[in-house]
Formats: sequence, structure tokens, C-alpha cells
Amino acid sequence: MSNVANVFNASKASNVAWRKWRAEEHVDDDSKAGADQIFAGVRVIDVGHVLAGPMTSSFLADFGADVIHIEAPAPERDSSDPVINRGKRCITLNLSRPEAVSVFHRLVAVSDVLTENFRPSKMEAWGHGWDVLHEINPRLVYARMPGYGLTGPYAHRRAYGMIGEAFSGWSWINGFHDGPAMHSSFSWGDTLSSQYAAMAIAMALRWRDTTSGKGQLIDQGLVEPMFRQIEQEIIVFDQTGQAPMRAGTTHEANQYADVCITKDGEYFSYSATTKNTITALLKTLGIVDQTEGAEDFRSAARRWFSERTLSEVEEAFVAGVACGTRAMNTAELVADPHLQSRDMVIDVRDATGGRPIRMQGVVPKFSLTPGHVKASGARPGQHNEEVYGELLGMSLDEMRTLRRSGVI
Amino acid sequence: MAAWWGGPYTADGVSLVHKVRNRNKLMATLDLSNPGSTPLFRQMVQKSDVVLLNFRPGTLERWGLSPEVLQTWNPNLIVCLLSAFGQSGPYRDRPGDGRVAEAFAGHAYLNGNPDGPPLISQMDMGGSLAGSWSAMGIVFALYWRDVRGGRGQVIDVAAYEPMFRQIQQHVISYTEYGITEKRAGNRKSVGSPWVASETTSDGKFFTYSASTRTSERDQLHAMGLQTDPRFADVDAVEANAEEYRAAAKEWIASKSQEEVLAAFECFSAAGTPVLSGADLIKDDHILARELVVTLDDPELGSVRMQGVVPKFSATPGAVRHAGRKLGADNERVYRSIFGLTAVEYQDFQKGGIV
Repeated sequence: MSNVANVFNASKASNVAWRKWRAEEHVDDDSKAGADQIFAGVRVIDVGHVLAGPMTSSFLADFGADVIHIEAPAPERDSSDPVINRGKRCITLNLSRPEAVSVFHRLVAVSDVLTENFRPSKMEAWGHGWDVLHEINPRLVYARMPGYGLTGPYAHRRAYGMIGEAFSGWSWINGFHDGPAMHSSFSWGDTLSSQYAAMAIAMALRWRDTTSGKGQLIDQGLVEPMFRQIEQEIIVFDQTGQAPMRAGTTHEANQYADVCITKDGEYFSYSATTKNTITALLKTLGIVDQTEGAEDFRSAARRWFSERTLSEVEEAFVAGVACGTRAMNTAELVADPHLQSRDMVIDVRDATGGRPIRMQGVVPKFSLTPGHVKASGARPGQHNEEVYGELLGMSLDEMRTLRRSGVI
Repeated sequence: MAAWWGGPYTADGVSLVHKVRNRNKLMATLDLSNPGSTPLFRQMVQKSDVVLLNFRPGTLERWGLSPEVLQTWNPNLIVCLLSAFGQSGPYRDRPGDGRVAEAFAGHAYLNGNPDGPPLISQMDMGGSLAGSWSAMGIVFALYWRDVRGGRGQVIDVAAYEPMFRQIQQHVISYTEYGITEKRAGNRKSVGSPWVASETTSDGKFFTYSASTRTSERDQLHAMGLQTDPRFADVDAVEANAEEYRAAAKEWIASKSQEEVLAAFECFSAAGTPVLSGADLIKDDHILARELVVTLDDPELGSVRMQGVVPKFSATPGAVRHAGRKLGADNERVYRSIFGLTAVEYQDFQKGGIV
């Protein structure tokens, strides 16, 4: 094992067999709780609703930000909330009530970052336009993620992640060539938007704290990161007159890529793009002459897979150092030794007092600031007293009044 | 520092993805496998903030360029190592690319029709996510170093992990609810009657989605289906989910894409035409957001590609030029930035190092 691998293994409580990785023995990686946190001391207010807004602050919470997630007093919740809101403090505040305006402004005054994913005019209607918030706190970094951004002819349209997947061109390039454009079951639009926003927030914080001392507004349409991420879609149409088109399990411009069914009915994805990986693939499949064209190669490859079981295929690919993997499902991923050794599946303390909850680990892996999940997503309002009382200095009377009138 | 691959799309032998992926960069060549390059690389590392490397684990060590070595040269250096399966664990030596990452992270399994094979889209989802997460990791590390008094460190990005982390329901739906999620075609796996993508009367596609009571009601009204007693309100639709799906499919099939969109707009319901690259390049909103930029490129002439995402109010980015040829900026990089003399530079050239 190289030195690089040791850097990471040294900071782990792992390398225990999965059998021993029982909830009662291993709650998260507490060894990481004491490490320095990238965003320690950075306070983030998250007033977003499922999924892009809360996921953004989740990525920051993994690395030590003090995230305060604001929900309406009786929120609609999602079964993924223990993951989406992990490591955050959860408070309730009904932003549509006039009494909430000053409470919200007090929170903004003591925070570094605000994220939300409402439609463009919503925050303004509640009295929280950028000009107002910027005046209250000139150092505030405000990341907005309305469906189509703050400007342009579709700015008023409502959008969710799935809409983003269709609008950005992704669905168009997903599905069979002769079938409809397709979506997957992954909330790809929302979560990519979250990732871009988390990155943008860190960029803005660094600019504020090293250069300008100033906050700024980040305007990111939920549909836009996907559009940016599909590198070929504009330039290929621009230069060839032909837009990239879906091609099922294969790739329209690379003959060495497919998902094949094995003798025992499992699916295996292979791909090769460089001279080395193509050579390794051909050798593994025992196909010598690839000059006859893509279709002949693919048929020969499909035949090869259909004559072998998944375990025979996996063995051959490992032996031949060829590029490929079975299409993993969740059950396989959770049990996989590689993911276990990478701490990619962890047990997290349940914020509501139940047994630990198993979920994804922290990504990516930093050698000195490894990140940490303090607890799963809390109940709505679980941290009201902590935040309103300790952070804002509200009296118990004041909190009681707000609670009785349904503001918090 | 990257192993070279231009991508499969070309025009007149020019890699198109390269033009987008390497925009705004200075293009220099350096043969790291040649030990003669080490003094030059060391000089570069000493004057840099970040080194991003995507070689197979073990390769750098073989060349004597492990992260530990690089950090003795520059303790403030952030080293981002991007690989298929990460720097540790039993699969670290396996080869992989974006498509493998996508299948290994569990996405392919969730993509496609229930009775069909797992699908993989035409974009490099796995590879591009590994890239954007590396960028985020680097910014995080720079923040810690420059604002919080930290120092350089190593970031280990395994290409499959960002996607695994982003599939938010992945582990919890299995461990808490015992559900192994499967592909569900255009219905997604959420089991909701409110999300689907259907074919319009003019053979185009329309995607609709709703996840709150208000947006569900707006969708119902946009299609005018509330007049049917089976769909009188949101709860009635939930009780007659299959019938609602069928009615929605039929309603969309009876209208052109434009008509469907107009009805959805009228009720502020969430829905959109499914767009291709050909549609997007001329879309009013995309153009108004300056999401397509036109550049002059010495190889391709006028070339259009995506603009900058996201939009910052105080520090907007810009696209200055498309990706240049390999080594196009060698002279500028080695002479002007890293200060080699003409003789030194020529020696490296002659030795085949740059």
C-alpha cells in the first residue's frame, strides 16, 4: 500500500469487517469529530425546500458549517430528510407571517450565508429582497436557486429537478435511440445544482474573507448547472449541425461502450476510450479484429457476455485490467467491501434519539479536514430554543408568544 | 496535470469537448514519466497553489512524485488526486472512467425502463461530476488554507463517490425502509402520480412534475382533469393514481408541445418541453441568461459553447478563449511564468520533456 493510501487509512476508524460494523459499535466516525473543520464558525441559513436548497447546505454542514434549516411550523417532509438535513440545526419559522420579518432579519444579521430555492419574487414578497438583506448584513453571501434563474423570459416558471433534467438537454440524450427521451430515478437536476451552489458559496466566502470583505448575490437557475455540465451539447450542434442524441446502453461516438446482459441475467457496463483500455478490453473479450465496425464489435461482445455468468465476467475483467463493472444496486453498494473501506456508508447518530441511521459518508476525502456528520436530520423546530434563545437572545416569553400565534 | 483524452466528438479532426473542457486555460506539455522533468515540475509546484492529477493510483509514486514529495516542495500546496476508485480500498488499482463510475455508483441501475437494461446517457455524468466535485474540494481546501489558517492538504476524489453521495435516497431507502430502488422509466421511482414525461401530438416530449400540494393542484388544473370526478382534488388523484397517469398521457398526446406548455404556463404548473442541443442553442431564455457564448477560435473559427454558471453579482466569470492545442502555451508558461532562460527551455525541448 502506498503512502497516499496510508494518509487516508490513518485517519479512519475503519478496516473492521462489515459484520462488526454494527450500529451500536460504530456511530459515524467520531475520530473525525475532533479534526479541524473547513467551515467552523461559518453560519448558514437554509430556507430552501426539497431538494436543491437543503442539499446545498448539507454539503457545507459535512465540513463543519453551522447550518440552520428553517421550515414552516408544520412542514411537508421527505423520507430522505435524515440525510438531506444531516448535521443541521432545524428551526421553524413561518416566513409568510408579518411577525416573522424581524425574526428572520435578526438571523440574517448574525449569519454568513443564506440559501434558498424559491421562485424569484417570493423572498421579495416576504420583505427579504437582496437590497434589504445586503443592507442588514453587507457581508452576507446569498445563493438563490430559482428554477430558471432570477432573470430572463422563463424566470417566473416553476421548476423542480425533473424539469431541469428535461430542460437542460439531459433527458434528450438519455433513453433508446428509437424511443422517448428518458429520465432516471436520480434527482440529478436538484443535486447537481446543490453541488454548484455549495462550490459557489465557498468561492464567494473566500473572496469576501481574503480580498473584499463584501458579500454578494449568487444567481443560479436550477436548470443551469446541468446545462453547463453536458460539455458537448452546444458545441457539437454548433460545429456539426447534429445535436447529440440518446443511444440506449451504447455511446453514439464511442464504439467501445455498452451495457450487456450476462448468462445469469445480470447487467455489466464496459467502456474503453484510450489506446491502453481498448487493448485491455479486446484482449479480455478475446476479440482480435475490431476493423469490421461498431455493430460487429458490439454483437461479438454481447455474445461473449451472454455465454458467461456475472462472476466469470467480473473475474475476466479484473484479470485483464479492463474497464467495467456490474450495474450496482443499493443492496450491493451497502455490502461492498470497497465502499466499506472508503467509509462511504456510515452510521449516524439519530438526532431524534432513535437508533443510528445508515447513510452515505462524507465526499470528498480530505487528508487534514476530513469532515464529519454530527447527527441525522432533526425534527422540525427541534433547535428552536437553542437558536432563538441562545443565538438571538429571545426571552422564553417572546418565544412562547411566537409559538402560540403560529409564527415559529 | 492530466492524462490526455480528447473525447469522441470531432469536427475536421479537432476534438470538440477539448474546446469546452480546456477553455480559458494555458496549455503546456510536460512528460512527468521522464525523470528529467522533475526539476522543472518542482519549480512549478513551488510557485503554485493547487496541483490536480488524475493518474491511476501508484503512478505518481512510481515517478517519485507522491503527494508527500510534492508537499515537501511546497507545504501550502493543495493536491487533488482524481481516480476511478480512490487512493485506498480493494479496488484502487482497477481502471475506470465516467461510464464505469456511473454504473458503479448505482446510477445505471436506476436509469431505464423497469423491464429493460440499465441505461447510460451520452454525457459523461460520472466523469463530469468527479470534475465538479474536485473543483469544489479545491475551493474548500483553499478557503481553509487562506481564511482559517490551515495549510496544504491532499484531496482524494474517487470518480464514483460524488454520484453515490448525490443520490440522496440511496442508502436510507434500503436500510430504513428495505427498498432496493429500481429503474422506473419516466415515472421515476418516487411512486407519485404527479411526475412523468409523455409524447405530445407532434411527436415531441413534455415533462411534468409536482411535489407539494399547491403545485399538484396547479398541475391538475393545467390539464383540466379536475372536472373528472375521479380527479376532483389532490387526494382523489392520489387514490386513482393509475387512472390519472393514463388520463394525463392521453391529454398530452392530444395536444402539441406548444399547446401543452401554454396550458401549464397559464396555471403556473411545473412542466417543460424536453429540449435538445439544437433547441437550446436558440432558446430565448438560454440566450437571455447569456448561457451560450460565441468565441473566435484559430482552429474552428466562430464557435459557440456554454457560458459561465453560476452568476455572481460582484465577481462574474468570463470565457476568454476556447481550449487551445496541446503545448500551445509552452513558451509563455515556461519562459514568462516559471522564468526559464531560453537555453534552459531549449534543453527541455530537446530532451523531449516539454
